[in-house]
Amino acid sequence: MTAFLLGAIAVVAVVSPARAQDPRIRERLDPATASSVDSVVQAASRAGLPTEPLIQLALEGQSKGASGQRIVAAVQRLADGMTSARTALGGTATNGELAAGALWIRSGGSTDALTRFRKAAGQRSLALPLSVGADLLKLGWPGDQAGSALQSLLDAKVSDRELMTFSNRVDKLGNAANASPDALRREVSRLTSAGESVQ
Amino acid sequence: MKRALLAVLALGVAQEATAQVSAIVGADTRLAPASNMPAFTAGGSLQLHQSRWTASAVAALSALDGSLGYQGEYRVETIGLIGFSARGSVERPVNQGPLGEQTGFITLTRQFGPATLRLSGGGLLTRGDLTAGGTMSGAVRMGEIEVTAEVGRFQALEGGAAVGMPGLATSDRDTLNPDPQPPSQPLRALSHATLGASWRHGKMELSGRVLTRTTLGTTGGSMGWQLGLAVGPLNGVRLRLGFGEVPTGTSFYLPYRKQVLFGFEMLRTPRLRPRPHDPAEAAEPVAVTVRQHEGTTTIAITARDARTVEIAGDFTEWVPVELRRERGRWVIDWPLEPGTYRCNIRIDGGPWTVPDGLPSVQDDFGGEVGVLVVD
Repeated sequence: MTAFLLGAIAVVAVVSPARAQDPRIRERLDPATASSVDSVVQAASRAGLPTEPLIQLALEGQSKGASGQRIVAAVQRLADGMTSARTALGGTATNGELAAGALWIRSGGSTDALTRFRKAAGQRSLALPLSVGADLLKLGWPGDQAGSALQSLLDAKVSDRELMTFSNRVDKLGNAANASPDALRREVSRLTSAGESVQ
Repeated sequence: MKRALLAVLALGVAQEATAQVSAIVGADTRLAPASNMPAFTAGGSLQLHQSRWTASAVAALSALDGSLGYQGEYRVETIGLIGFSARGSVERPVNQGPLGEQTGFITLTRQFGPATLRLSGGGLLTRGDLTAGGTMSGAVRMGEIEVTAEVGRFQALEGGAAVGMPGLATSDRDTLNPDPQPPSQPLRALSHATLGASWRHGKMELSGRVLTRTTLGTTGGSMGWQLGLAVGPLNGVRLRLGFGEVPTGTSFYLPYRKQVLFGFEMLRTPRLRPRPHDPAEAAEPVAVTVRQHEGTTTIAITARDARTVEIAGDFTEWVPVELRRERGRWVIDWPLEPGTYRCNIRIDGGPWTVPDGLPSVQDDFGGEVGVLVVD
């Protein structure tokens, strides 16, 4: 009986870490890519990170026809980014905040800025603000200007809807290289009197 | 009514509605049912689209042998899981008296992947006679093909005693309707069923449908069919061809008619607001509006010349889902929990893009992805 119990425990110990591969990964990716993505997902799960954003990113890559190598690299980068974002945003960060924080970092934003955003936002979700911040970085605005703009908007407690409006307006300015140096500050000033603090 | 329409127009200007103006000129036998000759027809329409409602008005004038006929119609419809639509029309065939009707419907619309199901219930008022009833319609889009079906029934109130055809003399009806009905019996109920399909390829759209209408209390049902071809727009002009046989109308008064239509439609999209001085306010050709209503998120894309619009995102497991065309916009209803979603749209099978109106970020795969926030 004792031997049976020990055997059963050993079997459970061996089997339980090897969680079943997500069927979406198995069905949509080639076996080699699915296996590599699954390794990243399993590691993230063990680290207490959300796995759904990783799976969705893999599906996004498959949908867009990306190579398996590129998909695996992207998923690994997102997992690394979420790890850094969790350190900066704190253990209470939601899944959406971690994914958006990883996006911010991936776009060239600093983890120090993430910590400042967390303090400015309080209990408010940073998922959308960080996505808007990543949008600014994508458009070529320097990290310090983008961070300062976002900080001002968060300090002024502008709503998510106002942030969307802000994002649309900044998008229409085009690439930062072609926009007036004061353009970003003017857009911030539309929503908050703290716009002058933006460098 | 005029005030209501003006209010809608004012609302459209205030809320940055999109507008489409079209003018059509051609030949049409609809307004000259007593003749085998088509009447010369000229008219125009104005359509306004906003994320929560659409409004349209159509007017046309026909002339044959010095006699004039006319038709006009307005339609106002709110968009969402539960909506309301109102429609009114007046029609005066050449050498006949005017026929008018008003309808009001409450609609329930649900989206099931590529399929749309709509239930409508309401009333129809024609010359003081009120009927009530409802319709059930569905549409399924499969690539370039869309199949639609509708069944409905309207019942005369007050036992049908007040419903007849008082506006048409027997001789008129005999002339208008090749299958004349007994003049003395009142109409009590009208049922209809329609099955249609359209195929859109490039700038060409071919459509066809068969329809049957059954009037209880008089004679049996009558069948009809319609075929249509639209080509364009090419330089803002669309060619339309249509012919068929139309049975008794949705009201009890519009008679059986043969129909031939040939025309050119000129499309223009006027600017409703003064041209902005700020380049950040310049209009973009493809834009998105997002609206939440009772747990359903409605995503509407303005892509006027698109043949197909697909969306893929976290909420579809990145499986492309086609949007349905609804009065000049591309629309999809999806039950989304509050949160942040990544998504792209694809127009006419082209590259995945981000429509104007969504923040976008680099997507790790050499492109961009939009961020959709549901609050």
